[in-house]
Amino acid sequence: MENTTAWITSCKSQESGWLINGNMSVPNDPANRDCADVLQWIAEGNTPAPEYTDAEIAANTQAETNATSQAYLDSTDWYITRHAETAVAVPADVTTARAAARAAIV
Amino acid sequence: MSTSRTREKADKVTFTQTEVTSAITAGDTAARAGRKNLIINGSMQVAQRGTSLTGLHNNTNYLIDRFSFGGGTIDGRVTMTQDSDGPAGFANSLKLACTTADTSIAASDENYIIYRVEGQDLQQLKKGTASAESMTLSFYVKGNAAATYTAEFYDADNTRQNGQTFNVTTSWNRVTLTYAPDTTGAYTNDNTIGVYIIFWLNTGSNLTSGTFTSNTWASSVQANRVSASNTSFFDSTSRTLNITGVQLEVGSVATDFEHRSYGEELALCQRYYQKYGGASDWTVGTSANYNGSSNYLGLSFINEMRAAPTGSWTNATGWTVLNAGSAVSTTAVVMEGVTTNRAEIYFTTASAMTQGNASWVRGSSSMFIYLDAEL
Repeated sequence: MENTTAWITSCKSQESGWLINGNMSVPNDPANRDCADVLQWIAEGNTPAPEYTDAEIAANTQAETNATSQAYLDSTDWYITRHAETAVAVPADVTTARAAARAAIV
Repeated sequence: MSTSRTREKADKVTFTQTEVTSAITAGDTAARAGRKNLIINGSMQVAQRGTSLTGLHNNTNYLIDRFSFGGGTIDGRVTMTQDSDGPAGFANSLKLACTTADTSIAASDENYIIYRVEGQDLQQLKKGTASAESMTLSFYVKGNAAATYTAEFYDADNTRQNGQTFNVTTSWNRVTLTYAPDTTGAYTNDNTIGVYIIFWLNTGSNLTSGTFTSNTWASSVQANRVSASNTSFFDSTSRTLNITGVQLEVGSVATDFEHRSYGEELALCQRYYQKYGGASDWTVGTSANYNGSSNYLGLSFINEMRAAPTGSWTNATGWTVLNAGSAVSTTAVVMEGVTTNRAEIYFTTASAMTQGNASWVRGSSSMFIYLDAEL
């Protein structure tokens, strides 16, 4: 009969199923024929990899930090513009926070 | 009928046996007019996945919607196409052509065209009851040479089988096979497989070494499933088979094939498979930037699907996210929270999006998203 698990070359856990071979999300639904194959693959002694590796978790965290920091810089750019055009000083706390935001972006 | 009726007495009219049979058949046909074909895409007109697949021998291979070619690993190979050859009234057929022969068939070898039917679509057969109905499978076939194959119904819920052989010639011929009612084993009324309809094209002795009893329902015995007279489709590289006009109807009479519009067949097929994309700058949908590199899009399906589908995509990279006046390319794609009618697509990009913004996601002509809920 057909080999029902040979097509699975990689498997990662997802919130509601598995990411198979990098381009296929299989839901954890017993009526889904691919789900049956994945469950069989697990029954054969295989273990799905975690959804994210440590490196991917770190990268995602950094991406969120980058986005948050960039958003803060964007929202306070007007202080810099105002200072350049009118010589009104940039508040010290803003200057400090902007420096921290720039440092956080990788 | 009026030409042969004879008036014997003023109140008595006599008909010939032929006329009586014809009248009963006509009545039977009329009673089953309208939606009668339990097979979707029997005329092989819908082929969402493409029109040709090469090098096939094992696993499940879909090309023309709802019909797959499959089997175990063997040395032979076939090409499956949506062919323009067909009997009068049919623009398409499913064609198999042997491209690599295999004349050393192992005992466990098996290859087939297979069609799967949901149990909830078979309830009118009343299988497993005292009033079980017979059913009639009809289809048109044509080959490169004479051949004999086996068409089997395999009851997945109760592991029961019933097969009959049919012959193929070099011309288009309509095959009509009526299967006896089965008073044992009801089909479960659900969205999983009730019955497999299997056209056995190549089998080793594991499936042919027993006693094949035509048109008889029985608990499954592997050795009895296929006739020993079955031709091996892999006996020559000149071997071909075309099939179309597949119809399954309740009762003992094969009526004319029920032609449905392309749009209707496509909609029926989309319960099992959907394909999005393929056009220049096609719209995947509107989305939202969770943060600078995470973009979420809700995809509503064209039709409700049989089960939560497997979602797949041609490319992880290269999807375009239009955001705050610029275009950002994706680096990864994942589908989550899939139900029978919706899914969440999570696109990852470089950190170049503005958190909280709405975005617009596009694909190119070579990029697709597929949803597969086949049985």
